[in-house]
Amino acid sequence: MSGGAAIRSGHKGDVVVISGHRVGERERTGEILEVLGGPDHVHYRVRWEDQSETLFYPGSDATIRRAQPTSARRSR
Amino acid sequence: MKTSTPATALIDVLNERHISYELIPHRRTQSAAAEARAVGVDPAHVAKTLVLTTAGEFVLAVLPASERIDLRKVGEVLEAADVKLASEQVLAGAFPEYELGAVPPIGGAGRDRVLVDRRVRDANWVVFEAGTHEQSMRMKAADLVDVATARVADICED
Repeated sequence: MSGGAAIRSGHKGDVVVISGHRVGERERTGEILEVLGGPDHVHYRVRWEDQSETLFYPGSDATIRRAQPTSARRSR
Repeated sequence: MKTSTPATALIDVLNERHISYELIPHRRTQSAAAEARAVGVDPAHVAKTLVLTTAGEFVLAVLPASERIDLRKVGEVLEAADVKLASEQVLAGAFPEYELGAVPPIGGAGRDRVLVDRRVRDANWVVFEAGTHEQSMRMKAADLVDVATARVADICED
C-alpha cells in the first residue's frame, strides 16, 4: 500500500504515511479519498487501514506516495 | 462565543508547528465514553482535559477519560496545596471560545501550564475534544506533550 516515491501534495488514490515517533512504533497509512482546502494548507479526507475516515492535516512527519497504476500492481 | 467548529487557536498552533493531526466530526456527545463510541476508538485512547485552579492560575490536566484525577498527586507535582477543579461558572468566563467541558489541552490564550498523565503519554496516539462536543482531534501523544510543553506525571487515582 505504501509503495512509490514520496511527493509533496496528494491526489485522490494516493497513500498517506505517518511515520512512527518511537522505535518499534508502526507507521499509519491511509488512502486519500478527497483533497480539501486551499494550497496554503491542503488537507485530505483519508480512509485509514482500520477503515476509519478522518480529515487529515499533514505535518512534517507525514509523506504522501503516489498511487501505483493498477497495471503496475498486478503480478505478471 | 460557543461554536461547533474546532478551536481556531488550537488549529493555528498545530499548523505553525507542522504537526500532523486529524479532525473527526461526530454526533454531539456529552461524555468521553459516548465520544469514543461516536469516533469509533477504544475508550482508553480518549483523553479529557480538566481545568484546575491553583494560586490564581489555571492548569490543564490531561488524563484518560476512564480515569479519575487525584488532586493530591497534582498538588505534589505542582508543589501547591490549593488545587481545585474550576467551576462551570469560572470555565464559562475564562474559556468562552470553547464549549463547556470541551476545553482542548493546546491553544489556550492564557498559555496555561499543562500536566499530561503518563498513561496518555505512553499511548501512541490520543483523541480529545477540539473545543466542541461535535468534533474530536486525533494526534500523536508525543506531539501533544511537545506542543503543550507539558509536564508528564502520574495524576490519576490509584
